[in-house]
Amino acid sequence: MRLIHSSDLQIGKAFGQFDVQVATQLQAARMNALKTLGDLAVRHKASAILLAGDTFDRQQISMPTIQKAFEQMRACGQVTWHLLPGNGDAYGEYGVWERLTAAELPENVRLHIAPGPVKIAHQQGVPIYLLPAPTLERQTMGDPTEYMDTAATPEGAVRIGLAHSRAPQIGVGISATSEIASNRGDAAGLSYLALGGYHAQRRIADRTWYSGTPEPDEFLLPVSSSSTLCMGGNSLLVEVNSATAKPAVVSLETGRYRWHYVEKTLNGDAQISFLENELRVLERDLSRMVLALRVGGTLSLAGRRLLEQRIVNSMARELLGIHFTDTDLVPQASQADLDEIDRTGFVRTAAERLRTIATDPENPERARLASLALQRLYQEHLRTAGQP
Amino acid sequence: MKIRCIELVNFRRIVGPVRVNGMTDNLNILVVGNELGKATLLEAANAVIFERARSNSQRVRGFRQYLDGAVPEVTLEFELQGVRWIVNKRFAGTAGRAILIGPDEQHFEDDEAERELERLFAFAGEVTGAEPSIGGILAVREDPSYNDDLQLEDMARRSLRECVEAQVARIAGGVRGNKISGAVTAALEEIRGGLSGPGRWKLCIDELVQIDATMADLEAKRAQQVQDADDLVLLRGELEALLASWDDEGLQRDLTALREKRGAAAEFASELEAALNAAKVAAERAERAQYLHRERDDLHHEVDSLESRVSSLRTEIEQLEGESGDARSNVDSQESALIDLRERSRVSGEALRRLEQTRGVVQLRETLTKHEDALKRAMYLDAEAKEVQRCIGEIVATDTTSRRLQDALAEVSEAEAALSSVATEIKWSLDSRRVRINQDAKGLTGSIDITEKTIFGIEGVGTLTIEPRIPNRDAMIQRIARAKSFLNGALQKTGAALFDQSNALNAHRKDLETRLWEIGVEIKRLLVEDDGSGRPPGLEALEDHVDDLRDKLEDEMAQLKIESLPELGAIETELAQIKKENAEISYAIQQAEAAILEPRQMIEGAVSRLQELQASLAELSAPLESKRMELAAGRAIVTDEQLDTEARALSEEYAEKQAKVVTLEMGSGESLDIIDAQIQELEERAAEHQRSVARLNTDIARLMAVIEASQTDGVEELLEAARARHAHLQEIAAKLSDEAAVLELLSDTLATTAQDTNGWLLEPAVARVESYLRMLLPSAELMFDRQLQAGDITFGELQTEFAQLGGGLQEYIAVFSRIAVADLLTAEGRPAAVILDDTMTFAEDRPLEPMFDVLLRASEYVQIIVLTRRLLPDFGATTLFVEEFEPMTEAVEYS
Repeated sequence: MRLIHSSDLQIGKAFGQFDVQVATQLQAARMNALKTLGDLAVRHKASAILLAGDTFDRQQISMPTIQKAFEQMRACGQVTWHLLPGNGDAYGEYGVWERLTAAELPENVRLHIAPGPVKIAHQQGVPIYLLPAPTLERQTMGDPTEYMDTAATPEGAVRIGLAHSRAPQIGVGISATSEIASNRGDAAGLSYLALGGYHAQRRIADRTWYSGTPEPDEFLLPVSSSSTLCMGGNSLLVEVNSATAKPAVVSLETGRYRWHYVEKTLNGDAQISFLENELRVLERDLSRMVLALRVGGTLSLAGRRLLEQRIVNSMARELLGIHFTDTDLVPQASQADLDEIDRTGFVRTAAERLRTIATDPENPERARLASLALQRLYQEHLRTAGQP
Repeated sequence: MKIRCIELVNFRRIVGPVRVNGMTDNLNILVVGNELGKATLLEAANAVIFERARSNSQRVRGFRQYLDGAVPEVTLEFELQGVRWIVNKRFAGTAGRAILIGPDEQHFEDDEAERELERLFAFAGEVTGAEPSIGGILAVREDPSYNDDLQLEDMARRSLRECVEAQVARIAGGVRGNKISGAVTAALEEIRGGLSGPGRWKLCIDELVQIDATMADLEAKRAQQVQDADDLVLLRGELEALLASWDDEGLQRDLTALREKRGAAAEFASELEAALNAAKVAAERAERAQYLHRERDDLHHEVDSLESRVSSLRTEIEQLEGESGDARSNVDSQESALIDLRERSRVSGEALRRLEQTRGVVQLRETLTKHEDALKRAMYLDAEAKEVQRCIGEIVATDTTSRRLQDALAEVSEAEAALSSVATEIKWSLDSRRVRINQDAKGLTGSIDITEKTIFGIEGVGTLTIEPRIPNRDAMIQRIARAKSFLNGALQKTGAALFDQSNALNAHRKDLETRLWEIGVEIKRLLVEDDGSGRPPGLEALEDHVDDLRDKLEDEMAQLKIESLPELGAIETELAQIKKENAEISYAIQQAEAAILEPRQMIEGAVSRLQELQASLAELSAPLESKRMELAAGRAIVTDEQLDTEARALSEEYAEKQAKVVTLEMGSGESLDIIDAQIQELEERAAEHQRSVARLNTDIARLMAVIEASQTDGVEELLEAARARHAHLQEIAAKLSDEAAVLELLSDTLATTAQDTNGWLLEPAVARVESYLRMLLPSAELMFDRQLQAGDITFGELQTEFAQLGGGLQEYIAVFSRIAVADLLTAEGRPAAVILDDTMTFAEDRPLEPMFDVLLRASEYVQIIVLTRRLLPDFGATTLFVEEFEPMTEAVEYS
């Protein structure tokens, strides 16, 4: 049997740190991830898609959002969707799952809101059972997968676990709260344990995997990653051939947008061009890139302006979105900067006075303001001289 | 600072190489052809000192040759405090080159050269603190010095001080600085808001407040959802408990038993009811008989009472009629006396009014007499004032003319003294030969001051021609002639032959002006003040007023029909007598009215009481008669004794029936009412149970509908979106706040720096510009206001608002401001030279000489270079030309 393993779609997420237009596109991308998963399932002849929790970002999701999501699932009729409550959308009275159970869902959608083996398919006479471990409350205590060890299924049946939990191997960056035993797959005789709650893709054991979120949603780098690419953007294609055989697991790219987090210390105007080149090669298609850029260091006024022109304004127009942080960047007026403003006259004197304040260690806040004021004076000077 | 030579290659429109050489310490006129451009030369001189050779700024890139963009090169030779320097710069961006050569083979290159220039000219990096950084070359360009940012119409440009202030600000970098300050202010207003509307900050905060409200609303909705869910659980529990505790079968059993018990009780109750009805009928008949007996007794008592009241009323009426007749005759006699007194009071009042009118006419006559006297005096003073004005008008001498005469006399004396001081004195002493000087015979001995070519002839010997070589002799002689001519002209204008005579005339004029002021004061005191009638004050008004008073007096005498007026004292005596009589009559009337009041009231009371008694009597007569007839009719049918017997028999019958009912009731069990109440209680319990179940079901259904409907809205999704927007707006608000703080600091720094610069230069610059203006316009007199600001400027008798003067004069101020600032900088030991555009310096509508005088005077302290397209007359300046040359080597040599 082939199946697609995914999790943490977080449908309904707001993306408030971006402008409304960007946030709308990111929300649409999350919804579109369902279609991508469906298409991949058809292409790879997978009969089921397992969503291992946090399909929805909140309990109180509006009906249009919910309906849109299920319409995407209905459109992929030949695949069965198995949905599990996670910690973000835990099952509780009058929550999103209770509404879903009362609603008229597509026939190819199955909700797993209670623990216990559920037969989901037959493969060459062998029944295939899904053992879901739904998160029943937001703060679940204990191991929800523990029951799998003793849950009875017919002899020789394929047992597939589905949970939204924290594996001991994952240190930080995981949203799931309930912790599972590290050997659950073996102890419960599972052919495969599909986990959710960690937004990056990660192999825990041969039979235990985190799929990661199919569409990235935060500027968080995977643990010990040396790349700038943030978590998410992939799903897993899993082939289970028998109850005992090791499953074949293949990663599939599903993300529409690619999120990068870059931290850079600039110590000279010349580094701006290097930074721009570095950023441009991160992605072939910049319109798919969402960038968090945090710069520190020291630049001249001309350099600071160049950074603004080349990256914050010009390059940003090519990206889907940018989150620019320059609180650690100190503009430092050079002699050439001041000469550019003027060589004589009271404006030059004012610039000199601001530079003196900007280097006063006694009053760091005023020094910071003076430094920015000097930058502003430089910009206004260029503007009055006819330069944009 | 003295500029000696400048060489240019490939600088803007100049291809070159070209050179200007031989500039003197003082005033230089540099003739520049159209093909070179005065502004280009000026720019080059400025740039070679103040711009870095390796600068990539837009300004410096703009120096490149217009045709092919060739690298510009400028060499400037100058002197600072007697030390000669040469600076050469190639403005080629990072490949640029700067060389500075100084005394003692000092040689500086590139950054060293730039630093040395900064040190020499004290600008850029060397300048800190409050000291203004102003360049050493102060130029007036061809473009108007009051342009877009310094409009003539601007109210701030109205005084000399403010004009100079504007120019000083311009010299200190004001034009671009003001634009930057304006942009900063505009940016600040865009954030904070202003007249144009609310700023970005306010809009952001408004939206934050709105989002806060939305979030609170959504939070409340979410809390309500939780509450609804809790309520639903409670309701479901309540329903379950209610259904579990209900025993419907037991209730139905109890009801059946009670209904059977009620049937047996109903039969017994009907027997009892029959006995009760019989007792009830007996009771009603006994009661009716007793009622008739009581009614007969009441009627009898009523008739007795009415007869007694009628009798007492009749007695009282007779007594009242007697008393009111006596009182009426007394009131009639007192009213007759009161009418007489009122007639006397009317006659006396009439006489009083006429006397008061007469007194008013007498007062009017006295006012008329006073105004006639004032009119005579005022007319006399008016004639005197006209005579004094005529005398003042004939005197031409004034303080101003006296000052001019003094200045002219001083100038003649100074001019003559100047010539005498350079004269050569020749003394001679001969024994017998006669001497002729310029054909005029002289004595044997004598002396003479020689200031011009003089032929000294000695009879029989020959002639000696003596010609002293005095520098500027012609100019001195011309100065004496001009001064004398000016003195004579001034004397002629005053109409005096001598200076003292002019002073005497001026003193006499002042005495006459004093007298004229005194007359004016006295006339003003005599004249009629504004009486609110709209009549203008003055002599004519006083005449009109006297005529009005006269007409009014005649009208009022005619109205009173009197031809002569008595004295005021006699009228006052007669008025007092009549007022006394009036008071006595009034007192008598009051006494009579008080005396008649009491009898009148008594009569009115008696009449009223009589009417009441008669009405009561009439009311009682009719019922009395009716009751008497009713009593008689009743007794005719049944006598009083028969009624008494029947009532007693019926009461005994009722007592028997009631005793039977009591016996029956004692034999009955539970009553029907008690059984009915028990049945009703059970039925109500069943109904209440049904109602509770229905209410709980309704509440549960309603809550489920509410929960379902509210979940459809996606409250948490909306709340998350609102929170995200809130955080985003808070970030924007923080950024705006930071930006505003930055702009405020920038704005304050720019403002204080500009103020410091202007403050340092302004006061001394104003004094110097004023001095130059006096030299330029000797016939002008500057008028100062209280703040010593030149508010007006006077040409002869024509006084003009400073702001209304032509742009030409304003441009002179621009020129003088630069000279003044250069002078100040030089006095401070800082380098300064002035380069002027002749279009600005020598306005075509004014003569050249006065301006040259000012420039020559100023150039004693500051080197001045005037750039001109035309050849100017020789007024003592050095004229220079731009020349092309072949450079010997690329290297610059110190010579």
